[in-house]
Amino acid sequence: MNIRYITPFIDATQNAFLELLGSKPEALTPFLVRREEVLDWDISGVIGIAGEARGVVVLSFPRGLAQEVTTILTGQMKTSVDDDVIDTVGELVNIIAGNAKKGLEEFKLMISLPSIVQGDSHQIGWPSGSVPIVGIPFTTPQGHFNLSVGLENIITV
Amino acid sequence: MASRFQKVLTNILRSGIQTALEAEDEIRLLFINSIILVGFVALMVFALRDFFAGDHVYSVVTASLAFIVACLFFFIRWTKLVQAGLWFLPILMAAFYGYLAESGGAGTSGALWSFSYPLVAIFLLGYRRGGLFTLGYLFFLGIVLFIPHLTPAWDMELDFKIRTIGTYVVISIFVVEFEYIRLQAQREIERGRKELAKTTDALLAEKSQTDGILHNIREGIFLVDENLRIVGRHSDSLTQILDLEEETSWDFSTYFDGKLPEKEVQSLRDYLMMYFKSQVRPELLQSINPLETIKISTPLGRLKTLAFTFAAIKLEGQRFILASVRDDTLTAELNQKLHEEEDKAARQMRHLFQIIHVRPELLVQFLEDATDEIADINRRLKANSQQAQDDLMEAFYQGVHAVKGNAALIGLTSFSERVHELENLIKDWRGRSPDWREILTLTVELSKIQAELEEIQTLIQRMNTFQKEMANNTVPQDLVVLTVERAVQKLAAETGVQATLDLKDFVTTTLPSGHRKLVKDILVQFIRNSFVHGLEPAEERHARKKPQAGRIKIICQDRGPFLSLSYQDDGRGLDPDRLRQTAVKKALKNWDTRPDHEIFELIFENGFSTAAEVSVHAGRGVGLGLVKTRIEASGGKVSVRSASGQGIAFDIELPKG
Amino acid sequence: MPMRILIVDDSRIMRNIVKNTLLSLKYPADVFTEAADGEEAFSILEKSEITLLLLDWNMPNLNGLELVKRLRSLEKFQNLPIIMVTSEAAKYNIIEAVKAGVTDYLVKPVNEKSLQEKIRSALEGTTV
Repeated sequence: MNIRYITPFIDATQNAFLELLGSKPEALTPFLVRREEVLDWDISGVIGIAGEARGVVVLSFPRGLAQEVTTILTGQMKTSVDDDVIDTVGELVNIIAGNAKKGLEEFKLMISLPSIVQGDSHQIGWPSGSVPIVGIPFTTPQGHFNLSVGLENIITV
Repeated sequence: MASRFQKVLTNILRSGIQTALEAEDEIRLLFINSIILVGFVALMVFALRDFFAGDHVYSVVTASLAFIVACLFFFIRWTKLVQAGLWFLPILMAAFYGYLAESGGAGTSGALWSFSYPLVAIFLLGYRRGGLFTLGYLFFLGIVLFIPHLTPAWDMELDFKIRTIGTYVVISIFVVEFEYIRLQAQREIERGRKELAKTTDALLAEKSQTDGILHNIREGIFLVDENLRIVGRHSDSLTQILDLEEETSWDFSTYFDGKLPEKEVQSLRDYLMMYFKSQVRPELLQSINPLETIKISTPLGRLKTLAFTFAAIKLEGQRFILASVRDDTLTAELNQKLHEEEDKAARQMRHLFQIIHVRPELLVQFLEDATDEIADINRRLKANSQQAQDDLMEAFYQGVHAVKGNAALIGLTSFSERVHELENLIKDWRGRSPDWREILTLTVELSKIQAELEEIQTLIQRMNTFQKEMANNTVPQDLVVLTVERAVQKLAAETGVQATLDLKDFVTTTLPSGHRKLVKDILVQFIRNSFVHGLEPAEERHARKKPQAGRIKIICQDRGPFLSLSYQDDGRGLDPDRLRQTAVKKALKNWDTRPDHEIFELIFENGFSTAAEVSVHAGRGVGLGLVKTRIEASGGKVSVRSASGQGIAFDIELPKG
Repeated sequence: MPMRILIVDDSRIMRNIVKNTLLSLKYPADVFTEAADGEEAFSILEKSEITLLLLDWNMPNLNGLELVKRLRSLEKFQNLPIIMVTSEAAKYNIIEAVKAGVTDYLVKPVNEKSLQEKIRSALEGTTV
């Protein structure tokens, strides 16, 4: 695995959480995500990458953590996954993908608008082909979340 | 012709002075010589005329005057004393004009000459001093004109006299005024000229400074105009940093053609144009500088890391980019090396961690197998030219796969991951013939894996050495010696007593490891004892005819089942009487009647000390007691010998087992 | 001209974050107008006098960069201060945006200090 192209995503994630929520999540050991895998997450923000490489960035939360993060950002107590929670997850994945481009400037990449997938044990529509997907679990005082990144020809395993 | 005449005339008028003069002095010099020349000619003409008119007295006077004037000319020419001429001529002329006025001159017109006097005096001497001369002459003229007895030769109407004086005064005033204004103007011009010279000097200095800076500065500094051309002067380093051939004006962005992808060169052009067109904040522009650090291959084919900075400047209303470039290649290389070192260290730590968790016999087996496997692959690579290549790839893959599997099996996970990368690389090449480029990649990868394997072996060797040293019976020889030497040095420094240490017969290799610590502690205690009780200060030793420095000798001998250790010093030794007294004081029974050699044993009694006061080194009375206890506890014996005033000796026997 | 700040972002949360940051910097609450995409922003800009535009890049309908290009092609918006507030952090993106005519550029997540500084200098730039 080429760490160099993974680190911009990890840095961007940590920085976004630090700036917006005031604490830096810790990255745990990365793993390979199998395509058919059913993820144990409740809500995911998905951003597609196009340009000199195709790919995908997925930010997945358990319901509780997504609500808690939204509560911190909006100042309003969230007890269900409403529009604000969806908005927050989308904006977070947007910031992570956008900021990570800074570390990948040798490739000219474009990012899509975020889309949200939710539901118990939802599945992500990974891009077809042989793009490997790397999962990076993060841990915060409020719980775990996960970032999955696949970038054709750039992130190879 | 004209120029030669001009030269001669100039030479005459400047009295042959070649050097440049102050403007004021130059004018006066020219003026005085002109007057002299014209005056000489005029006087000679008058003298001849008078001579032929029969007026011999006048003729002689005039001719004499002409002669004096001529003398003045040559006087100035030879002595270069212009100043003397300037003073002398007005006086001479005052006399001559006065004579003319007084005598009436030819046709009683002599007074008319007086009108030229203010001109001569003031132009020659300036308006102040010349003015005084003019005023003086005015009085003289007044006297000549108005006191009748003084003018026997001629007489004129009162009206005419008054007009003569009036005209003289008017001429005087105008001349003074003119000279004053002329002088002011002259000064003004002079000041302007000086200022101009000063400015020119400053500019020249500035230019040479700029030149110096541009010449010596290590950064490449240059100006880029709005057509992105490098214009004007640039620092000498620029050509060297960019590996350029000297060009006067060229498009800066074209330098990157072929060195950067085309879209990046375009992006660079867009970026540079922002310095000319938009009102973008400088901080923002700086933050997106695409050439902040850039690795490129220069026109001379060298790989360099360059750092550019840009700033917008305005020169004479035109916008430019002031750009500078620094060669950061060395720094970058250093950083990379540092990174590699860090990576290596981290990898070694991982290896180390994994190695200590692997069963040794498995690890040894693995290392042997892996080395064989890689050697085998290498052999195949060498023999490659004859063999079918798909065969090679298959063998290669099998070999690598086996190494990876074994590494993973015994728990060398990071090494296994490394091999896994190589395995992945070859996987796709199986069943076809790879080109030489791919083979090269393989070879490089293989060499890296081999290096890591060697690294692991080195680590194991180091661990072995470490372990051996920890477990070995003979600790490095000089540890006991070192401690003894240090103790002597330290105590000598603290007590001010000099001592030499003789370790010639102290063979520490014979010391069984079990006794090392004991021997070390015993010797330190004896040494302490010598410095506190035994060895005398230099004066005392001198009085006793002993060498100035005390002597300590340690002997260690192998005596079959026993190890014999002997410690001697040549100090005061033990004083049996004093020991007896102390024994009595401490109410120890029966000691006062015992023989000396038994009395000596007292020093091994706990709580027995003859030292007057307690210090770190002496007086606690446990030192030698403890020594005896410990020796006996390890199955040994200790005894003491001493001759009062001659020294002390401790003999120890320690069982070897 | 009274200050009117138009915040354009498809994320309501992000608009609120920007607005709250400015409120805490003592900007009065009544200067803010919001829009969720480029088209909406454009129609607001045409109708009312906006003095400062804080603009996201990635938005549905009309994205921020296209809006900047459209605005700068119109005489009326030549001097409108536009600060792009976006997650796009790559240098080539910033260069693209500056080339299109943004006054300044701020990478999300926004930081109070740099937001304040950039707004101040953008507004100063127009009064000169």
